[in-house]
Amino acid sequence: MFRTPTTILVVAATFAAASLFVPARARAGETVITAHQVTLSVKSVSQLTGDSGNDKPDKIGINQKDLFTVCTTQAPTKTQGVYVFFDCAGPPPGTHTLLAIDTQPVTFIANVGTMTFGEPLVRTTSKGGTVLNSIKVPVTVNINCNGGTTTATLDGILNLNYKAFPNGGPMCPNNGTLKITGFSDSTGVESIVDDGSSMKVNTRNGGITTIPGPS
Amino acid sequence: MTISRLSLAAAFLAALACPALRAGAGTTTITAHPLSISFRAVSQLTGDSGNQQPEKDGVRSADLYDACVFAPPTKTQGVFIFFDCSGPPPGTATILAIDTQPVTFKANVGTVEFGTPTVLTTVTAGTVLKSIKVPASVTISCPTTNTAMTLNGVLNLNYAAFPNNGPICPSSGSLKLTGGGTVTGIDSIIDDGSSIKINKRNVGINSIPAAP
Repeated sequence: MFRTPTTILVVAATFAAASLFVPARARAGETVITAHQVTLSVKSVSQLTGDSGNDKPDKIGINQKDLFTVCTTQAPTKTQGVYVFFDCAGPPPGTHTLLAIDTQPVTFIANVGTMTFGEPLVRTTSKGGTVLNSIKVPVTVNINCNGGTTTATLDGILNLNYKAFPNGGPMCPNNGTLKITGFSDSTGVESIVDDGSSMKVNTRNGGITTIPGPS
Repeated sequence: MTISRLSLAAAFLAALACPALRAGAGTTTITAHPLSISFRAVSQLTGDSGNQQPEKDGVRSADLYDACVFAPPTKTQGVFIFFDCSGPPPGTATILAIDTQPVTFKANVGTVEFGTPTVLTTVTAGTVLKSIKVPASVTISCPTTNTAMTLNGVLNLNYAAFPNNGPICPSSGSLKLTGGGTVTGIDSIIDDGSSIKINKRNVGINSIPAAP
């Protein structure tokens, strides 16, 4: 068949758009993965005893860079961070893994933790219930890294927004927020993760379509 | 002598203010605190258009009492938490629906389990406990009704001594919490912004009313 130049351009543009925005593995029928950088703001409270013998709370702030450093024993560079990986199953997602990674190139650095979803799950949908816009679900975040020397159990309610990939792509997690409380133990120092702590699930990184594994 | 009688009367009244003395030597001191509950319950609603959306409802102490007792509370009835003075954290943390006049058990409501660590605030060279902060899991389970929840948060509990060198015991507190469960048969998320206020101890109640 002979194609006109216009048709060839349209086909090429469509192919380019699909290549850029729809994860390649979706086209092969494999699981679509979304990767989201995590922004962490933890109010950590541990026990301090002053010179006078009085006990009092010792309050410090912990962010995603601190968590990356604790789990990898090195501070992150500009291309490194803590990411949560979801799949497009559910809702809720069947995959929910937290990793410390490098993004250039995409490389596994360390396991950070996982999420466990509770019940019930409340959906917001549109277009007669056919389009999923968001979910709200109880969640427990389990942090376990650096050979188990840093652990945390954090509970909260995850608000996760969904969005379709362009060009008829699958409906997948896009971004979300989570207020958390609980407790942690880092190299023997026990702390409370207090009210006001939060985890932001940033908008999915279009350049990461698989979960990097240990080399 | 008149002065001696007055002294004895004063000592007797002071003893009444201290639950440990009222309860008798060696008896566990119990504090009873009315709860002010404010839960933001979110359940699933499907509209006529077929779209799903969150259905938001408030659950307060009177609602929980009603769900557990099958009757709304009168002015003398409410949901109370009972602590002992051991720990910290307290060894007893029981939530009941009760009547206060006279003190009568109405229904089990739930329990509180404490996690670790417990962070203390003390004064007078560490000898006087002022407050604690501790992870807490609240389990609500009303008998024979479909109301059951598991809620997590961080409890802030203040302590104060009873008068006349009485024991240092829980005085008041607060707890922001989230979780999930079933509220009168409806699956619900207990969302951010939910809280339990532990009001000041009721000095007229010094034991946990037993179920009949």
